[in-house]
Amino acid sequence: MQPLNHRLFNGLLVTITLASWLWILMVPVAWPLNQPDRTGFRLGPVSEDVQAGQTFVASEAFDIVAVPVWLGAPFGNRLDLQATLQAGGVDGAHVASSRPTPAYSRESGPDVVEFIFETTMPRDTSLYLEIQVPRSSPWPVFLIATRGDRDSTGRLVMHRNFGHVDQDLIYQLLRQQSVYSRMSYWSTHHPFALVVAITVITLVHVLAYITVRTLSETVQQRLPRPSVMMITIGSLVTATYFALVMAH
Amino acid sequence: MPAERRGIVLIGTGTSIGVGLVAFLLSACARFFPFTTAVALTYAITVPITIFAVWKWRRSPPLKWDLSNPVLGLVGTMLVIVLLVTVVGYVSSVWHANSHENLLIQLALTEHVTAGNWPPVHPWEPDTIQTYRFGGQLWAASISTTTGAGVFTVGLAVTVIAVLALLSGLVAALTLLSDKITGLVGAMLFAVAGPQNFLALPKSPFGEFTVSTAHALTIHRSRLLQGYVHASSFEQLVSFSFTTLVGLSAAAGVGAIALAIAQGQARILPSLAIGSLVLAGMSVTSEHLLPVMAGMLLLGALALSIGKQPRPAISLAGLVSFGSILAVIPYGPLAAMLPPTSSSPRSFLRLATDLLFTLPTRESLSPGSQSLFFLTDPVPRVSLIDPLMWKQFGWVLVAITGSSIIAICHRRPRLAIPGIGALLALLIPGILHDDLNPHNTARFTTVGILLASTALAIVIVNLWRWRPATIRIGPAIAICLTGLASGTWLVALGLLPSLVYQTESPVLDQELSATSFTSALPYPQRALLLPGPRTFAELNSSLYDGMHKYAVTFGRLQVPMGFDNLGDRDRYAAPYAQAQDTLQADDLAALNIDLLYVAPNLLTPLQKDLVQTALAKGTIQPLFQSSGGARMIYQVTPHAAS
Repeated sequence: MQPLNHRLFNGLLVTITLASWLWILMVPVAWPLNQPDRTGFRLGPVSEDVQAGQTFVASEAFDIVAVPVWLGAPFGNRLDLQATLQAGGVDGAHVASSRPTPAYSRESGPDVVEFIFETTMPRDTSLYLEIQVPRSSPWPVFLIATRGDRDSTGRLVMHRNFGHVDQDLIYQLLRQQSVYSRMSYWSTHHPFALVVAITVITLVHVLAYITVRTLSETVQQRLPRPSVMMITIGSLVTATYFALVMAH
Repeated sequence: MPAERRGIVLIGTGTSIGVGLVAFLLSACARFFPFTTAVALTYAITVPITIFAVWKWRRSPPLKWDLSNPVLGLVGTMLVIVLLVTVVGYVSSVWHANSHENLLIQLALTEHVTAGNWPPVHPWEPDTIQTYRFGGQLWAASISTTTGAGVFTVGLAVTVIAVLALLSGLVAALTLLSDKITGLVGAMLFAVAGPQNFLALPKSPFGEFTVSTAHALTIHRSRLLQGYVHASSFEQLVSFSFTTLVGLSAAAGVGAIALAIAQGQARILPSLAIGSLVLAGMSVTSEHLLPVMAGMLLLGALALSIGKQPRPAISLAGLVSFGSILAVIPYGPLAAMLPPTSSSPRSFLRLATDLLFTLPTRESLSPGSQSLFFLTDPVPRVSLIDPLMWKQFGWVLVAITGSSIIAICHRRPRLAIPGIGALLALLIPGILHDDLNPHNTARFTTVGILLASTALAIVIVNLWRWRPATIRIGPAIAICLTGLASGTWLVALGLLPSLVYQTESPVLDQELSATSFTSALPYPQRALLLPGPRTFAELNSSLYDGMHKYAVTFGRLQVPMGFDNLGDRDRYAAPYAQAQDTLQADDLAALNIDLLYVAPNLLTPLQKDLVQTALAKGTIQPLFQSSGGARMIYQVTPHAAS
């Protein structure tokens, strides 16, 4: 086989790296804004007549609410649900509705359904989230609630009545933003974490560059050509695999 | 080592034995003299030795480094990453609740020793002496005493120096054992090797109610690095127990000296003397390293005597004997056992072989705990060759077996030493049982896995160089093994910023002003925290903004709540709970409470009433209020009790 063209190889690596970073910087990602409790009790069944929801005040602007839903149906079946937001509280004015979003019956447990809103909801506004179940639903639908006042800004609501003071619906707020847009928030609120992240990324790139260079030199001198290709392809496949998993 | 001119061997051996020497001298001198005198004596001995070593180094022929620029670049960058992870891990353990061990007890004891707590009473059980694992704290306290630096800064300095000494000591020992490349690869793997939990990433989010894989991993970062088979990775030692790093540094120094003796490269008598002191320093700092190191050295002595090399064999046996005798001099686990008296702490350790070839799991720490990453029923122990062991630590088993096979094939028995040491460490949890804290024997698993990473380096380097006639698969297998051992560390590296994302206490400024006030009061002061933890689980948590940890560490307060020190927890738990529930003068007096340390914004209505009643009765009187009112300190009125 012909010796590997170093300039071509380096150019390819640099291009792939730059393209990856451009993608990472520009593509919007859903950033979690709160940490939902891991344990809870089943709430429901909820229906068009027996609604369930939660009042809350978001500490940051958001456009997605993820809610774990338990669908009492044979595994694999789906039901379209909708989430609505009302300003001020249970009887407040309607603010936004999500698109109908499928919830699946899963063997592994509740399905965490992401309700996406067209507009971004502002921070520090008192809101009431309600999950809408269609009247035609052939299956019982359960949500998950928790004790211990995990959300001190609001309370669980069942059938338009407040639950106990320490009860809350399990939900997670998310914000769809690119890394580039998110930078200003991090630099203001979490500067140390941002510095650590940039330092780690820089060091990993330096390490990867030196490793590739050292390996290619070693390989050029001592190893047969297939080993170079194997190492390169292996590294790329592994990196792609982890990138995909993390992106999910 | 008069003929040795390799820089990485001499510098690595020197730094790691230096750490062990300081740990021993400090703890031995402190047994007989006041702590400040012990510090002065230690530095009076070690500083001239250091000056002499540097003078000798400058007068000798230049050291040989023999490292190409790319290799230097790789080593340097990797070292900077490891140090960054170390610093972030340490910082987050103090301010961001990454773990609770450092603040809760390690740095707390350091601060109390600096304040004059000697012999070292336990801050959470102030009537009992802590007899184990305090070498690192003593070193940090000695720096604090001589420089006046705060406990956070000296803890960080000791951590970074210990990590540098440990890694350079490992490079030295492995270079002496095999060669330079094995030394560098071994040190790198030591820092990054962990369980193969990254293989289970597609299973994420592991049952949490989140849609983000990264968020799920952030929640479970600690368990990702730890695994279900109970052991801590190197990275976690920084935030759990910085003092263990000091013990490991000394262990690397002992290993390097022992190898130099075995190969006839060292002058026997000085090496024996210094090696024994370092071994003793290691055992005072991390007592669980002693049986593993002693076993490895005695097996080495046996192999040398079979190979008809009696002089080094006797030297290695002497190293173990003298080191063990010297380890009795300072306060420590061995000294606590000898001589047994009626006042000696009772032993909770026992030997039994019914669980041989098994390792404790996370279930032994948290009953009912399940494996997040691989399917298994909750079991307290797994066999060494259990499928779960293969899933989580397959590379460990390959390293032990592989290094032994390489040692046999190359007819170089010494290459099997790290693997045998790892096996020895993994066998100990099967025969040594701690009835008080069963999970404590998992410390041996940690040592075994760390040692296995050095055995893996031998396997990887030999595979890379393997040239069979037909198909050259050695490099591919070497890369896969490196990936298996380091994959979880790589994934966790991406989560590093999450460690410092949020501070633990929302009123940190006020907390620190309160602790600064109490630390200036005459030492010791016993305090009751309101609200405050009552159980070990609550103690080891971020409950109440982590107030209890800051109060005990930075505030130098003794809190007689009960910990797990040699079974005295029950002696404190009930009276402390009663004092918290009543704030009655008699209950406070029963525990000799001097101060009431209060977070008014976290009190329940009942607790607020209790404080008001105690104030009205004159049981307590205000002593300090933080600027925002988030922390109040009351003095318990003397003679208020009936």
